[in-house]
Amino acid sequence: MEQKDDIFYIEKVKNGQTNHFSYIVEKYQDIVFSIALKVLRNREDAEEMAQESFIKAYKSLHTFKGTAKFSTWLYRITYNNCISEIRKKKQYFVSTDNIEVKDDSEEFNLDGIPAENRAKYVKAALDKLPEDEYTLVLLYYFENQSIEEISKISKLSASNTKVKLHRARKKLYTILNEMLKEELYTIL
Amino acid sequence: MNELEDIKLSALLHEMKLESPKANFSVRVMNQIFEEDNVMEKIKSSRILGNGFWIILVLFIALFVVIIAVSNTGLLPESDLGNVLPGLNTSKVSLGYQSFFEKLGSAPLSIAGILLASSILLFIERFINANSKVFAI
Repeated sequence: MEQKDDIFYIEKVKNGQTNHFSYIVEKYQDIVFSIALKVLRNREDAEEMAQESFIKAYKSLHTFKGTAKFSTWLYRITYNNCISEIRKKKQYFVSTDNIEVKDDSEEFNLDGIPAENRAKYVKAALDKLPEDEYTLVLLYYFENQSIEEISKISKLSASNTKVKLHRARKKLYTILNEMLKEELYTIL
Repeated sequence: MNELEDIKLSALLHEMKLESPKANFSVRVMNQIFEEDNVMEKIKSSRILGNGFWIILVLFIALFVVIIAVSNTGLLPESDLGNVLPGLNTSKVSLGYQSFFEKLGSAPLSIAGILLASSILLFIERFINANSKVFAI
C-alpha cells in the first residue's frame, strides 16, 4: 500500500505536479534526517544533507523506474550523500571494535528491561552503535527493508549485509546488557 | 539469534520516535525545488544565440566570400582556360595547383577570423540585449 502511494505521487510529480513531492518529503523526512544526523553528528549539517538528498532525488526522479521500492532508492541517495560528505570532511566511521561483542548477548531477553523504559533504553543503545550498523538496524527493524534492499543501499553484498546486521544486533544487546548492569549498580 | 527477541526488538524500534528536522523543513525543501525549477525553465526558454547574431554572422560570411571572390589572385585568366582544357599544359596546371594550395593555406586564418568576429558579435549582441532599455530610448 505504501509503495503504491509513493508510486502514485511520484507519477504526479513526473507529470509536472511538483507540489506532490511534499508528500514524499513529509513521509520520509524523519528517517532521512536520522540517518544523516547519525553519520554527520551535527543537526545543521544533517538538515542540509537531508535537504540535499531530497533535491537530488527530485532531480533524478525520471531515472526511478519503480522496479525497487522508492524508499530503498531514496535511502541509497541519502546514504551515499552522507558517505561522500564525511569523506570530503575527512571524517571516518567510529571503529566498531571499541564495543566488545559478548557471546552471552545471544541470550539477552528484552523482557528483562522494565516495560516503561524499554523504548528509551533501546533508543539509547541504538545511538551508541557506529553509523553503518545504526543504519543497518534502522533500515531492517524500523523500515522493514529486506536484506536485498539494504545491500542495495549500503552497496554491501547480501551475505555481508547479513553478517553485519547479525553483528550489529549482538552489539546492540551487549550495549543493553551493559546499560542494565550500570542501572543495577546505581540502584544497589 | 532468538526469533522472538528479534520480533520484540522490531516492535520496540517501531515505538521509538525518530529525530525530526526543524518544523519548516518540508517547506524549505519545496521552496528550493520550485526555485531550481524556475531557474531551469528560464535557461530552457532563453535561446543562447539571438536572431540578431545569426543575421550579422550570415552577412559577415557573405561579405568574406565576396572579398575572396573579388580578389581572385592566382586564378587563371578566363582567356587561358580554353588553352588548358584541349591540351595539357603542365606549367598552367602547376600554377593552378599552386594557387589552390595557397588558398588552402590561408583557410585556417580565415576560420580563425570568422571565429574571432563571431565572438565579438556575440559579445555585442549580449551587450545590446542586456542594455536593451538604454538602446530603446
